[in-house]
Amino acid sequence: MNQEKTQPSIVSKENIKPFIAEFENKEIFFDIAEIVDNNEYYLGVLREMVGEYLDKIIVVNLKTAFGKNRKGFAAFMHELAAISDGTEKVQMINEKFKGKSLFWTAVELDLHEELLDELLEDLEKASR
Amino acid sequence: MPSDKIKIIRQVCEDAKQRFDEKHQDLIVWMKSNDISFSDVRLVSQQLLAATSFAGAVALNSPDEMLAVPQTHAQENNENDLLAVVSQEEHDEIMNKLESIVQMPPGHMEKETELYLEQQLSEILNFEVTVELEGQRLNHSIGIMGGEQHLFRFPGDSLAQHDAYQEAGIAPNRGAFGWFTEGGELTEKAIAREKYYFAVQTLYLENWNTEHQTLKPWYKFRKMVVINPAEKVAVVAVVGDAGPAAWVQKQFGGSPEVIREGKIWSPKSRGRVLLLFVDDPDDKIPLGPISLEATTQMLAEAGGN
Repeated sequence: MNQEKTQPSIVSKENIKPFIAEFENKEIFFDIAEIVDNNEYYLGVLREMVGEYLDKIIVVNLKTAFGKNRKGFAAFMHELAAISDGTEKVQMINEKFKGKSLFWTAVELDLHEELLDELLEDLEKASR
Repeated sequence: MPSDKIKIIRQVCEDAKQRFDEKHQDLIVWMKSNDISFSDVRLVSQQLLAATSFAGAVALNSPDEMLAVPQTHAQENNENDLLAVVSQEEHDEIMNKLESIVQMPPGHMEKETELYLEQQLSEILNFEVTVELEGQRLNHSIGIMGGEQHLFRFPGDSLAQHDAYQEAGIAPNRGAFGWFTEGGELTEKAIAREKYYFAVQTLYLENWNTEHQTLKPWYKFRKMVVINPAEKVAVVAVVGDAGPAAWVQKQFGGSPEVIREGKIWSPKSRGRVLLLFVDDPDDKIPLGPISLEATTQMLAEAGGN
């Protein structure tokens, strides 16, 4: 069972378009930015902290996408680490899963569920 | 109260990280042992965030764009509803795919499809299922499942002692894998195993004649799951008998409970199923039917939360 678990295109077309360096539902980022008055310092902190969490979610979703193929997952992660350009890294993931999965949608969904929704809610409460 | 906001940001993010670390402890350990770091994807995250307002320059230079974005809970809820629908749609697509697969001639799926569906079904069922387990693979994973009779669980057992579906009758001989009793006792587990058993064609395995001494104990009471996509039902059961014979033109057999509760011969199903191994080394997965529809709904709801 060493073969990679690829994901044939059985999901609807709307869900499989690859990400182009942005999220589908990015309003929440603007909402959060507005609550912190677009303060550059806060945006820097947010970017750093959300970025760190996003790293984790991307890795978890890569693990899910590779399924039981842990060797393939490890090899892919090492390949990814060897690339020093962000755009190329995104392209590499897109090439791996392009048109075949809900990969980026899953990443975005996780980010909303596990961090952004709560962040917005707590910041809104503090602003009232 | 800017300082309050920065506290909230840090607190929420730290809490999320803590939850993550607790939830994915095994992944973290595995990554360390494989010299992999979360920061290996750092540039990917930055690339994705570059299009958000958290990228300072975008936020500061495009205030009009930000103001134009509606900010209501209703919209947030609509987004979540949409995500739930997508999740439901995805699972409907998987079921549709399975329905078309079971209409194929008996045999196996293409490797890529097989690997994909193993993964999807494992996620839907919440336990690992696989066509090949520990190097063992039946001759078919797609096929038609016929109805079997009850089996004698112990010497002296009779049809009258079986509590359900007595109209199915009882086979004249004990199952190919022996009595169901454990240490001579008719335990709850033994009763459940006879209720939920499959007959599989071990006798036609290429290596059966030469390796049956090792294969027989491996297959005996091996846990498998039948997937009936037309009715969106799965049933977990054990290998309890060998068969059916090739001339019957069916590839699998199911106990009366499996056939009835799995709706295997409903007008929609007509016996066409998928049969996979359950990877359950700790014997934690209970035998019996599972509604794939209910699981789908649960996942859709989870997507909407």
